[in-house]
Amino acid sequence: MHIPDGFLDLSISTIMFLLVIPFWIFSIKGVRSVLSDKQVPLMATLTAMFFAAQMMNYPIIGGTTAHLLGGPILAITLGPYAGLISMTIILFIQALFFGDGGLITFGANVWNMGVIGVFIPYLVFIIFMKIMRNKKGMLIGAFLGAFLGDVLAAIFAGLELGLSTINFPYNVQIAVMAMGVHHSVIGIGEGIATVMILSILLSKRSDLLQLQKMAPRWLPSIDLRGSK
Amino acid sequence: MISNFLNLFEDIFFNEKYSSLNFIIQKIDPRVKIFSSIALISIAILAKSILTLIILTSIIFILSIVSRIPLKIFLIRTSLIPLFTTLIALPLIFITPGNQILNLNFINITTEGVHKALIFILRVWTCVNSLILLTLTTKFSNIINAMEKLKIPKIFTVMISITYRFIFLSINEAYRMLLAKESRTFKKESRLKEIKTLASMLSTLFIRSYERGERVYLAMMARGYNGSVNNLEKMSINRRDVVFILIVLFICIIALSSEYFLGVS
Repeated sequence: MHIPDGFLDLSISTIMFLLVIPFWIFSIKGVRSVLSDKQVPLMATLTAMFFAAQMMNYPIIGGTTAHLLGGPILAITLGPYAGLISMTIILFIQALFFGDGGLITFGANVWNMGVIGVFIPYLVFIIFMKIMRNKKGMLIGAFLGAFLGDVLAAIFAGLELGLSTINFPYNVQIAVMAMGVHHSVIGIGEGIATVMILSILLSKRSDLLQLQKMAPRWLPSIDLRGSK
Repeated sequence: MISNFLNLFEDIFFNEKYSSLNFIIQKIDPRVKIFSSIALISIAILAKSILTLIILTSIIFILSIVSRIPLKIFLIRTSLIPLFTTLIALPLIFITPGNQILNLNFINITTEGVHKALIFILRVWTCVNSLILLTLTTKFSNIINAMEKLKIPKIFTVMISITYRFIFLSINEAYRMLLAKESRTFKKESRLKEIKTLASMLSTLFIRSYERGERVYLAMMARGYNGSVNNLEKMSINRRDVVFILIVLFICIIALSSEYFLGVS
């Protein structure tokens, strides 16, 4: 889903940058108020781990493979603010060292995978937690969140590509269709993987999920250990 | 086979061999280089003619040759994304209406289609080239340093530098796990089982990284970490940098004006 430089128009890229900047500012403020020195190296090693995780492929329908995007699990374990910062750093290093993504399209990529891909799963997850208040609700929330986050991110990517009428040769319909259909399949894989990782973490090291407190203040904080 | 892959991977992507050389491009201030790559990429995005793009790409190639980057390494690093772009651009050759070159029963190839696809691929290639030239000729610590000087928030720069240190370790760990799994698997497993194995590997990785994070923090504390990472290398903009940036701006202005005022296509 990484959009390389040269796919998007300059105007679309600029708009996406402007959209992402407030989220960055809020995240930095949010993280700074709750983050101790200790958590910076911690977030960094976890970011490195998700970087490695993005290179592991798993099979999906019909011979194609997908890899974990990591957005949903980052959102659930680190909270959306720290999740966005981690995702931003992953995307930055990918763009610079693998040519996967770009400098000008960086804003668009962060919007798709960092903002949509982290905040949407988190919101869905929180809503399900509030409604069902048990482990089942949490897992359903994690699955739906991961699925929706992935599909929405793909649709946004399709929109950005399609609206770039100067540089991208296909129109909105084709771009959104191609991205949406492809990623609704990948999204199911992402959902299943997220649920499995979450349930393993819950049973093995549920103390790790306390990092949740990095969530925005207006969202209700939930003690994940209580819902086991 | 996997360890071979790992060595190759490290060689290609995380090698600072060429950025620590001391030729013209490596000597230029990282801030200037970041700015000029952004300028070159923007021009490539605005460009509408094949000629402009070819000229831009050849300038970047000349710069990479001048800074003694082996052509093979440069091409390997830059060809990944353009290959993927070629796949996306391929249908354009057949579906664009216009002047037909080749007309079989079902397949029409038109000049307009070929032109469109070529421009698309070339543009992406030019952008990737200029980005990769930046990363190949600049030490990672210098990029971070430049970002700090450009007032990027501290949390980003600190986290990027720590993350970068641990990426290769994490990838190594992940591949060791995959290798261990491969060597114990004899028949093809069902999809669900495979995802399950992967999930358990990932959660193990997660827990290990978490614990490593705590250890790293303690180690950093023991060495006097107080929440910020300092870079001792000084940066200054001198005459060479000014000349370089003027040349880049000159190229950009020439490219833009030939596109928009003279109508070169």
